[in-house]
Parts: sequence; structure tokens; C-alpha cells
Amino acid sequence: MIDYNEIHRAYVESDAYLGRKEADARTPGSKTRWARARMFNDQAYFLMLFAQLEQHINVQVAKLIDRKKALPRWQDRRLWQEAKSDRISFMQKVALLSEKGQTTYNRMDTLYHDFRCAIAHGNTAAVGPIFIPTVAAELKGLAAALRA
Amino acid sequence: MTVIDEIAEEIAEFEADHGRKPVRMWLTKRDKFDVAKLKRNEFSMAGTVMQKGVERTVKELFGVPIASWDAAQREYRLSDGETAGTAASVKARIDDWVKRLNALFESLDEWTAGVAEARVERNHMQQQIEGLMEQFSVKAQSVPIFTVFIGKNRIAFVPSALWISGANGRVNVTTNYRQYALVDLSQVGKPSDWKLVLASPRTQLAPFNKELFLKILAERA
Repeated sequence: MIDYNEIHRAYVESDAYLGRKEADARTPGSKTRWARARMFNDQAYFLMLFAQLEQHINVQVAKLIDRKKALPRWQDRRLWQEAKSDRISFMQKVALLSEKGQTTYNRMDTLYHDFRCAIAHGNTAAVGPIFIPTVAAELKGLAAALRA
Repeated sequence: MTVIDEIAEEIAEFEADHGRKPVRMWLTKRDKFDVAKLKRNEFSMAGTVMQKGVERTVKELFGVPIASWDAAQREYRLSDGETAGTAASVKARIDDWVKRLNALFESLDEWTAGVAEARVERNHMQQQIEGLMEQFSVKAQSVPIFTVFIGKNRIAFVPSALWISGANGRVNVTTNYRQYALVDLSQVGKPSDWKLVLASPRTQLAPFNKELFLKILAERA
């Protein structure tokens, strides 16, 4: 289970350290370097939280598939018989747990493509700094909404 | 099936999935028109392309502007992240940021007035260059900073970043002993909602008011 309080505390401590370095920097170049370090710290925390949300989604999809495979009527379970959660793309898994076109699905789409993938593919400047407490609360809400 | 048909189909699929059209599309070099391979029914469009340019024609056809021709594969997005806005909107956000900072520092000024031996210093500094400013070649503006001195203690409020996902700006609060982050959680264009970030699991974000400000002023290691 995700321990958001522990992560929040660790984030605040590390952000405060880098914030102090940024505040104490004497030259604009040095200030920018520390601001970038702070941004990387934000993004690293984001990736960690998102990875935990991905894990939650994997578990929920596996549960859903197991439940559907165990349906008594063959007509109900036939579509699920060959379903393998490790062969389903991430956004398809999200679509199994939330309705496409609705708020939860759309927000997951944005967080996955514009944040998670952008950071993972090195497009860190486009993502910029992330305020982790707000985003962590949002991911917590999304995890609650994405259930089998 | 031509590239045009493929894009039309993909946009329709995207709209069915997301309930609205993408904000922008990223195309590949392979998607560029090859005049020699046009079909008879596409000749008139080729004429429009010659007249208006491919970007405008494609936007008129699909209602979705092209973000780039260098994508590894075609992509459609609900939001366009770093490409959102214009130089004018970036400047407007910075002006709004300066206004919100001034309003915050006016409140701090009032709250400090009743504190014995407190001395306030208000200065300006060049803001840090952020991603969108760089992208739209918007110059850094002068932003206010606010410092309170009480004896040997010093508490400085220095703007850090405006564009931060999940907040509408962040200010560094540096005391002799601790470092805090003060964030505005308001929506863009709405009144400020300043919150101080705390490590406490019970109150992670405390409303930043006179009581909390005076508590920080009185803080010791």
C-alpha cells in the first residue's frame, strides 16, 4: 500500500534542502542550477508515486480478469478467457477500470503521456517543476476511482 | 487509404475515446504530401495546399493544428503541455504573478506592523527564466522580494517558480533555521490561496495567515 505520509515527509525535507541551496545561491547561474535540481527532485518523486499507481492498476486489472474468467456462464466469460494482463497496454488497463472519455480516464491519459512518459523519455524541461503534495493527493484520488 | 484518410479516422477514434478532439497533433516526416502520388480526387486539395500552405489546410480539414512534423509516430494529445499559450499569455501570467506577490507582501507588511523591533525591507530581483519564457522568448521581469528582520533573525520571502504543475507559483521562505515552501493553490485568474508546506502528516498544507506568519517570525531552532 502506498504510504503517502512517509513520501510527503521525505519530499518536504529534500525539497527544503534544495530550496535552501537555491535561496542561498549567489549567482543567477548557480540559482538556476539549484532550481533545476529541485525540478528533478519533483519529477523523481512524481515517477515514484506514478509507479505505485501503475502497480495498483496492474493488481486491479488482474483481479478484474480473474473475476471475469470465473463467471459461471461461458457466454459471459468467453471474451476474457484469453485475456492476459501483461499483454495489455497501460492505457488499455486504465480503460478497463474507467470509462473512456470521462474525467478519470482523460486525466490518466494526460498524467501518463504528458508527465510520466515525457519525464521517462527525458523531456524534463517541458514538464517543469511539480508540486508533489497536490499531485500526490490527486493520484490517491485516482487510485481510489480505479478499482476492479 | 491515404494519409489524409488515416488521420481523419484516427482523429474520429480519439474523439470517441476522449469526448473531444485533440488539441494538437504530432505528425511524422512520412506524413508529408507527395504531389506525385496524389489521387484524382485530391487534386483540388493540392491546389488549396499550394495557396494556403499545408498547416492551414490541415487545420481547416480536421480542426486540429499540427504541433510538429518530427514525431517518431503520429500522436494526438488532449493537452499540449509546453506548447500551450503565446508570448502574450506568458507575459500576462507573469504580470498576474507580480500582482499576486505584491498583494501577499502588502498583507505581510500589515501583519508585521504590530511586531515590536521588526524591520521590513522590500526589494526586487530578476525572476528566474522558466521553460515557457524561454520557449516564447519572454524576458525575465523584476519581481518583488520581502524580508523581515527581528534582531539577528531574518525571514526572507523570495519568489521561486511560477509554472509549477499542481500550484500557481511557489515562494521560498528562508529563515535562519528552516526552509519552507509557500505555494499559491489558486486556479489561474482566481484569488490567491496561499498555503505553507509542512512536513507534518496531519497538516501537510497550512493556510498561510497572520497567525502562522507570526509563528514563523517567533521561530527558533
